[in-house]
Formats: sequence, structure tokens, C-alpha cells
Amino acid sequence: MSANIVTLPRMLDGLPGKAQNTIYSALDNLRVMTSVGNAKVAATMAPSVFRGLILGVARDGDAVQMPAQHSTHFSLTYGGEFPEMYELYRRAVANQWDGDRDLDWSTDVDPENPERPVMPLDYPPFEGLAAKGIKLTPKEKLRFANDIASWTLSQFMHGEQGALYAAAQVTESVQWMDAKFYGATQVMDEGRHLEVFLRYLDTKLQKTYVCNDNLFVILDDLLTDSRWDVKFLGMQIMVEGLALGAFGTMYNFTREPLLKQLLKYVIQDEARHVHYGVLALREHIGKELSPAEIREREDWAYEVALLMRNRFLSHELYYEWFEGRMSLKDWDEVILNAPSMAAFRHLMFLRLIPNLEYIGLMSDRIKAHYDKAGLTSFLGGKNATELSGEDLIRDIAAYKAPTPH
Amino acid sequence: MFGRHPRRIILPRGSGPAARWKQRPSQTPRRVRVEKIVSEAQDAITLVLVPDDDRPLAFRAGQYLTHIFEIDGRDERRIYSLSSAEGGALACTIRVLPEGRASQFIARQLREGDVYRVLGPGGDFTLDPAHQGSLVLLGAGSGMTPVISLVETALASDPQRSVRVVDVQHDEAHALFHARLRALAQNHPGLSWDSVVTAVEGRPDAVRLAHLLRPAADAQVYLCGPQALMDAAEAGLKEAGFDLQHIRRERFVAAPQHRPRPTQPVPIVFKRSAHSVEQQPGESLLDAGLRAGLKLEFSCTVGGCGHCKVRVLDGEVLLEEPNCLLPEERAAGYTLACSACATTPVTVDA
Ligand SMILES: Cc1cc2nc3c(=O)[nH]c(=O)nc-3n(C[C@H](O)[C@H](O)[C@H](O)COP(=O)(O)OP(=O)(O)OC[C@H]3O[C@@H](n4cnc5c(N)ncnc54)[C@H](O)[C@@H]3O)c2cc1C
Ligand code: FES
Ligand SMILES: [Fe+2]
Ligand SMILES: [Fe+2]
Repeated sequence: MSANIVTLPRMLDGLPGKAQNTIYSALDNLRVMTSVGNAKVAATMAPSVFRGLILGVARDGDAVQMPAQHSTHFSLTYGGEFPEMYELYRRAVANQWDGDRDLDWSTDVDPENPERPVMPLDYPPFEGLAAKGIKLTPKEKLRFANDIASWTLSQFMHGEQGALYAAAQVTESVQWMDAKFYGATQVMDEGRHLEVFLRYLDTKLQKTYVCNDNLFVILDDLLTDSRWDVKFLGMQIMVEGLALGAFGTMYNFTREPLLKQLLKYVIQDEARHVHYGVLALREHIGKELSPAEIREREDWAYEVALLMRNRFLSHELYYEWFEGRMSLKDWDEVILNAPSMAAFRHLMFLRLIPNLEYIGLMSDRIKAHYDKAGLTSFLGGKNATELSGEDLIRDIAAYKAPTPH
Repeated sequence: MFGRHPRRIILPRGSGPAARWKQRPSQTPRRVRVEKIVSEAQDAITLVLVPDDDRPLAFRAGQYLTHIFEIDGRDERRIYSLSSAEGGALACTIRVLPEGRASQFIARQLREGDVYRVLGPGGDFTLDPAHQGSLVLLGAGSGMTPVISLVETALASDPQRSVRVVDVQHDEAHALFHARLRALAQNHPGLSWDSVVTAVEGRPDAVRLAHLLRPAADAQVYLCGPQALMDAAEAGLKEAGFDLQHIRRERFVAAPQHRPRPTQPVPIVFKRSAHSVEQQPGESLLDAGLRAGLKLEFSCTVGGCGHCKVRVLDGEVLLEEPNCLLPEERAAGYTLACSACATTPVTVDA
């Protein structure tokens, strides 16, 4: 590989832009696979990477079939008490909100209203784009900011669809009865999240983007994995952590009151979901798994964390706006260095790292990897069992994204 | 035929899905550029369009755009279905009518590079993602336009699917998309195709249509053509014991002729929304209601789809003709908000 990387820029130089992009994305996809250190992890992810990145199955047709191999744990004796989980279940039942009644859908959302923008102009990386020679007119800037909002909310919606199915699968597989009670409420929660994002996109922004290939890889991987704890880890810790980072960033930036309220409700539910995830996994990892199995989970979580940090680069927006005007490689660079991405990464890892630590997936061995990735500053932070929904909202609101000026 | 966009970016959602929340896409038109004008057959033209801002305009197979042409200083709206497969370029195919105001304008004056406005996409003459069974489609005249889009789209996602097309044309010279159908048939053994030439064999009757279509029990049937022909097909299928619930129709009614509208404001009461609105000169009931922020149903805005149907409870309205309202709907007091205006103070059930 290393020889290729050295000669790659020179090789690409002589080619037309489209061909450069094709080669760049192919190698980039390959890099996802070759960067996975644990061969076993790579092997379990390969089919999803192939379907998502190489075949691009999420970009065509109306649906994808994802065969799942997990088994349903049917209790005959109704044992398996887990008081903390029962408590969470009661709280979830008591705090159900109604996506139709409790949100003011009569709010007039005008994405171009400078008083209440869905995505204010300090979010998009205009400076980074300008450095690459892309100058947008004020009108284009507004439109681009709105497209970022639609893109982001579309990905939230796709993620919620995945969460809905994962929550259902996990409810089948989990062994504690109290966890099954709780799981039922999460299924309802995720259904409602899907409903409100879909409704917002369909009726307010009126523009929905396809599921991002990399998000699709993660969802496909964990929905088809047969091991319930991997689904659990993937959904309740990793994807929920990602979602909290992303919802929180959007919550902080948006000035549109309906969206703000909607996100607040969703974030409070997600806080409960992560709480449930860490309770179950700490118990399972601590008591049921062998050291080798723990090592594999650690590696898997690390891979997914990096995938989430490095690869949600909104390529759909690139193809819509800038194909032919700049290279895909330059676009990736602009997005990775955008201040709003820094905010997103901060909020995501702020929650994720302490949770991984709490459930027992932060051995010294893997810590060294996280350290290299610059993520250990979050160690020792509060984990999900110590944080309520209100705490989360407060922390999110308190985090001020670094502004480019 | 016009090449697929290499990558789907925007999900085609059409106007249907949001209906459950009583909200339809906004009425903001988009500008499109005529990239190519293709002679499709005798008296038929295909316009290949690109959004003027070069950003995708996603549609579902079988949907239409409402085209707004400025002809002799006034806006003329016409609905034309998309004839390209889902994910492909925007292409609409237009039959040029001898006295047709818009179609003659398209044939004689529209040029490549011209820019005009469209609304939509709209319409629910679309594939049902939950239905995996066979498809049977009848297209007569320009009714082949959405049919070819549906067929190409269905076969692209499932090349083995059983699809039957019956195409009714006046004569071979006027027939649409035969080359595309032939090419499809070569690569898709599941596609069968019959062509009826009315200049030779006359209009097919109910029995003949039922025989030509012969849908399997699991089939979804699509009919698009003149009212009389669709009625005959439906009668024939009913007689043959086919479940009419599995039939979808699209009617190409002619657009209404402009009629002089009141020159003074007229008050309208929207009873269910508990709103009073002053209809301004030139406005339709729909224009007035939307301006006041009411959530009124609509899609085509040209009297062709029936989505904007409302009942007049009191007062007089002027409804432009022709339009898609059925005689029994008229008798029950319905009008089309997009094509009607109040001539006296009115109360409507909306
Ligand atoms: C859902 C839908 C989809 C459609 N899709 C297509 C398509 O894909 N391709 C296509 O070619 N067309 C389509 N149409 C029809 C199209 O919208 C126009 O109606 C058609 O092109 C005629 O427009 P025009 O301006 O050329 O003719 P117009 O000037 O509107 O006249 C239309 C015809 O009606 C006659 N006419 C005029 N006045 C009256 C009257 N008062 N009463 C009755 N008849 C009258 C005219 O002589 C003429 O023959 C569709 C219509 C609908 C509703
Ligand atoms: S909106 Fe289609 S008939 Fe009025
Ligand atoms: Fe959720
Ligand atoms: Fe969740």
C-alpha cells in the first residue's frame, strides 16, 4: 500500500476530475478495511463494507433486505430481575411524549428567514471552501446552509430507522425480563424519533437525502451481526453516542424553535437509551465474556469510533454542489477541519469515551490506540448512569463551538 | 435512455407521503432549462430538462411536473408526465394537438436553452414499493408517457419481474416508445407487449381489453388514456373477476380555459379552518387560502388531479372548464379550488 500512497497524487494529477474522484474513493474505501487491525473484526465487517461502500446498495431501489441471525430469548419462567433497569422502564413509561401533540407543527419554518434559520451561516465551512477556491454568493450560502440542514436531519432519520430495528432485535435477544420491558419502550421511542424527523423533513424542509454509505455500513453491520452484545454495543453505545454528538451540535446551532424543541425531546430519550446500554453491557462484559471476546469487542468499538469520527463527510453534498469544481479529496479536508465538525466530535467523544470505560472496554492496550487518536482527554468524564436528560441538555448548551473568527 | 444520473443524492418523495400530515410541498416553482428537444414520433416531442441551478430534482416513476409557460404574456400551466425512468434525466413527452395552446407553443416556439418554471413533481400514479407481484399497464396515445417510465423503473430494480404492456395508438407513425420497449423486451424475458393500432382495427372494446390485459390475481394494473378507454378496460376486468382495488388510473384531462375573474375582492369563509379570507382579483380559491396560510390540499394546480376538491356550502363560484371533476361530484356541490374563484361571498367546507 505504501508505494501506492506515495505515487498516488502524481498518478491522479494527469487524470480528469471524475476519474481522480473514483480512484480516490476506491482507495479510501480500501483504507477502511486495511486500517482495521483485528482480522476477526475486519472479517465480520467486510460484507457490510462491501454492500455499503462498493455496491452502494443504499443508493438504489426502495429497500434493502438485511438477513439477521440473532436468536430470540424466550423466557419460560420470567426470571431475570434487574432493578435499575426496571426503574428505567418505569421512567420511560412515565415520560412518553407525543410527537403530534407536544410539538407545534403549525410553526412556520422558513429556512431562509435570517431571524430563525434552521442552520445559521456560522455552521458551514465557508472559509475552508474559499481556501480551495470555492466562492459562494450570499444566496448560494443560504441555500448551502439549508442543504446541510436537510442532509444532517436526513442522516438522523436513517439512523433512527436503524435504531428502531436494532432496539427491536435487542429486545428479542436480551435475557433479563426487566430489560425486555425496557426495550419495548425504546422501540416506541425510536419509532417516534423516526416519525418526527420524517415529518420535519417532509413537511418543513421538503428535501431528503439518501442514506450516507458509511452510516449504512455501520447500520447494516450491526443489524446483521448475530451476537446480541455487538448489536447492543453498536447501537446503544456507539450509534447513540454519535447521535448525541450530532443532535447536540444541531441543537446548539439551530435557531428554529420547532426543531430545537424536537431535538430536546429526542436527546432526553437518547440519554435513557445509552443509560440502559451501559447497564446491560457492564454486567455482560464483566461477567460473561472471555478475555479474547472482550478484546474483540474493544477493537470493534475502536474501529467504529474512528469510522464515525473520520467518515461522515457528507459526500452527498459534495456530489450535489461541487463535483467538477473541486476534488473529493479537497472536500474531505475541508469538512474534517470544519469548526462545526470539531463541535460534533467533541460532543460525541465527551460521552462515548467515559461510557466505554464504564462498561469495561478501555484496557490499557486499547487506550494506547485512543491516545494516538487524541481521544484520551475525555477519560474520567461522567458516564451515562450519572447523567440525566437535563444534565445532557445543559452540557450540550454549555459547549460553545470554536468559531472561525 | 438519457443516461442515469450516476448517483442518487436526493430521495424522490413526491407529494404523497406528507399528505398524512395534511401538508403538501410548497408551491414554489423551480426553473428548468430545455437541454434537448427530441422528435419522439409524429406529433410528439420530448423535452429533456435540467434544473437551471444544476441541482437534482427527484421524482418517482409515473409522476408529472406542472409546466408554466408564458404564452402571449400570460402564464399557461400544463401537466406533463415524466417519460424517463426514476433516477434518470428529467424528460417529458408531449403530444402536439392541432389547436393546443401549450403544445403548439412547445412545438413552434420553445428552443433548446430556453428557461421556464415547473411545479412538482406530483401525482400518485406510482409503483407501490410494498407490491412485488406482476404489473399490467395500459397506455393509450400520450398515456404511454408515465407507462414507459414505470416499466423501465420496475425492470431496472427487478429484471425478472413479470410485466405486461398494452399500448393503444392511432397508427404506427404516432406510436410512442416502441424502440425502448423493443430494447427492454430483448433483455427481459418477463416483459410481454402488445400493440393495438386503432386506425386498422378500431377501438378495442371491454372484452378485447380484458383479453389483452389478462392480469394475474397478484397483479397491479395501471391505466392511462382517454376516459372512455379506461372505463372500458375497467368494465372488462370487472367482468373477468379482477379485483378493481388493484387498478390505478391517470386521466389526462385538458387544462381549463381561462375565464374572466372578478375585479373586486370577494370574501371567502373556510369553515373547517375557521378562517375568513379576501379573495383578490385574479386569485383562485386555492391561491387565496394558501396566501392566508391555510393547509389546503393540492397537487397539479391545473384542474387535472382532483386533490384540491372542496365542497361549496354557500355562494357562487366560477369553475373553469374542462377539468377532472366527475358529474356526480359536481352534483354533490364540489368544485376544484385551484381552478375556481368566488363570484359572490362564499363559504367552503375546508
Ligand atoms: C395528470 C395529467 C398528466 C398529463 N400528462 C401528459 C403527457 O405526458 N403528455 C401529454 O401530451 N399530455 C399530458 N397531459 C395533458 C396536457 O396537460 C394538456 O392538457 C395537453 O397537452 C393539451 O394542452 P394544450 O395547451 O396543447 O391544449 P389546450 O389549448 O388546452 O386544448 C386541449 C384540447 O382540448 C380542446 N378544448 C379546448 N377548449 C375546450 C373546452 N372548453 N372543452 C373541451 N375541450 C376543449 C382543444 O381543442 C384541444 O384539442 C396530462 C394531463 C394530466 C391531467
Ligand atoms: S390541484 Fe390538481 S385539480 Fe386542483
Ligand atoms: Fe432515537
Ligand atoms: Fe435511541
